[in-house]
Amino acid sequence: MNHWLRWTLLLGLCVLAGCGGGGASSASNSTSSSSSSSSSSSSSSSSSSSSSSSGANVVTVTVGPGPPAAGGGTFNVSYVNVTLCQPGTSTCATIDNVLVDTGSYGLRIFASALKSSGLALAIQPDPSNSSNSLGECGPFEDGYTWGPLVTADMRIGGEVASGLTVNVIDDNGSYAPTVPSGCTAMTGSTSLNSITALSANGLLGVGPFDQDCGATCAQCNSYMGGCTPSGDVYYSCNSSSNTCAATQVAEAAQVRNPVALFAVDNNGVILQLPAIPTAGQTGATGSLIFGIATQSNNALGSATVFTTDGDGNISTVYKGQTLSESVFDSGSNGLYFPDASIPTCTNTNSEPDASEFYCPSSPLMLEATNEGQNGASSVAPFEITNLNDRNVSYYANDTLGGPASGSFDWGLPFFYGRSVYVAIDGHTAGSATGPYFAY
Amino acid sequence: MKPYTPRTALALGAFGLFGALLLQAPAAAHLGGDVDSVSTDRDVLHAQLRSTPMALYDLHEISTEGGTLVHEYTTRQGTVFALTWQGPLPPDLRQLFGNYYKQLQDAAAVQARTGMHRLLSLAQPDLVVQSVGRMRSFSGKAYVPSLVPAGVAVAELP
Repeated sequence: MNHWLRWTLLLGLCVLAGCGGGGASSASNSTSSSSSSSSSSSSSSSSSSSSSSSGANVVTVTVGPGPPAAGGGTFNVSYVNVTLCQPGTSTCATIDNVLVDTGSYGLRIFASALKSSGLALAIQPDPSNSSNSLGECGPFEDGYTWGPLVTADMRIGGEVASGLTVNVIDDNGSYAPTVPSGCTAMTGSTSLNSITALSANGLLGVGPFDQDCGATCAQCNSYMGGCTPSGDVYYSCNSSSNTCAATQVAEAAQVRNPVALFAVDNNGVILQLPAIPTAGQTGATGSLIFGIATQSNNALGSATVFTTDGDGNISTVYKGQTLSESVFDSGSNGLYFPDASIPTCTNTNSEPDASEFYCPSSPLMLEATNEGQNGASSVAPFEITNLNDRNVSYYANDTLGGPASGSFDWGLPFFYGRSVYVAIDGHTAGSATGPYFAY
Repeated sequence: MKPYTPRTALALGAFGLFGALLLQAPAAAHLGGDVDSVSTDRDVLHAQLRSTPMALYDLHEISTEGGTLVHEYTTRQGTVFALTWQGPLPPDLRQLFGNYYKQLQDAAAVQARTGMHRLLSLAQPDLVVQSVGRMRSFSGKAYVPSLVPAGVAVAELP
């Protein structure tokens, strides 16, 4: 039996056995698509604020504890619910606590969350070798994710992305091929294949590009003769022999930003979070709005457009340094920028990665200037406080940050009190064409 | 502590050869390795190589067909003391870091930041690494402080 079939069968068994638990709701055969368009969340706590829009192109975004996190917990993670269906059917399941990520492209779901949902999705065969399946390496700075590609219809609010390629992150050993060495050579050998590593059941990548890799992974490299893929991201894997070889995948078949597959609201998103107090608060409730200038609720208005370079970056000038690889990244939980004059924190048992954050002796009022490729320029004030002053039950905090190099990573703290627009490469969105950010 | 505090400005262009002269020595090696020890970096990365003498060191530029640009910097004695990379995907760091790769891995495993994993900073006595990346955009810099030639400001390496 092909191993990918067995994987599907294992998931299928869960439908019968009712593998509950986890954070995901069970599969259902309901013909009604999920239509829970935002409005305010019923779970918002007393000190949460909310800024919600409504409409079929809007879903609620919640900042809160999410799934248990490794290493002492995390904060500033924004989540949505995503419904996945077997292609062309009404057999669907909803996955909750999916991280909204303007710093990546495409949907990634942990295998254990999918299993808990009871939904079985078939692994994609390699179109050029039907006895093989397709796997994907997700490169991060301190490790990798690894798992197969599947096909699903994705529903979110009233929007549908049919036939979407989704990367299942194999956190439960259900995908036979083990991570290829070409993947770990790029990223180091630390596996991030766990819900606790990302504090989410998945990632919804809605950054300013359509495909997660693009031309690099679709090309054939002719060096030394023959043809080898120029990117070690996609792999053709044989489950029987547990061997994988890097393979090129056409851009249209890569993991794609699901927004680009929507029928109408397909040129980008707006992530909208309420303003919060400096001390932070338990959580926050906002909106993810699909489309830019496609409906009455998503006009570009007076937002300043910052077009990006070909890699999705803008420039940020901070204290005289021009940081040319800067980005608005809701998937980062702090403001990360280089400043040797601010002391970093000391690691402790309860905060093992504290040195990744700044610990100034008193709050710092700072500012930086964002610059688009289009010449747009705007000063953004921000504040940095001491990580150790954080109330650990507050999951929303807009004053935490840490060191970086060459980049100003405007993480989720930047999004509070703003509507941040993300327009997809090549799409006209209001008065400008993506890739751009606007706020 | 910040690793990139500028020291003395590097007198680029003193040779008047910036970007012009191709060296005979064809290959760059891994961090801490000898310049003439291997040409494997280029081969492993399936890349083109160009070497240029600078005022205080030699610059070896490796460009992959995938669009990733790697710079390796060698001392006049031929030892790789620093490297940088930039491109849509990270290069083969196992190859480029050589004997320092395990140190990089160990640091990454300890760091394993919860939440997003898009930054890595490492400042140890014998290895400094700063890198940032997300799909389609990765960049980084690594150097061995004890190997950096006198007068070279790592922060200003081209």
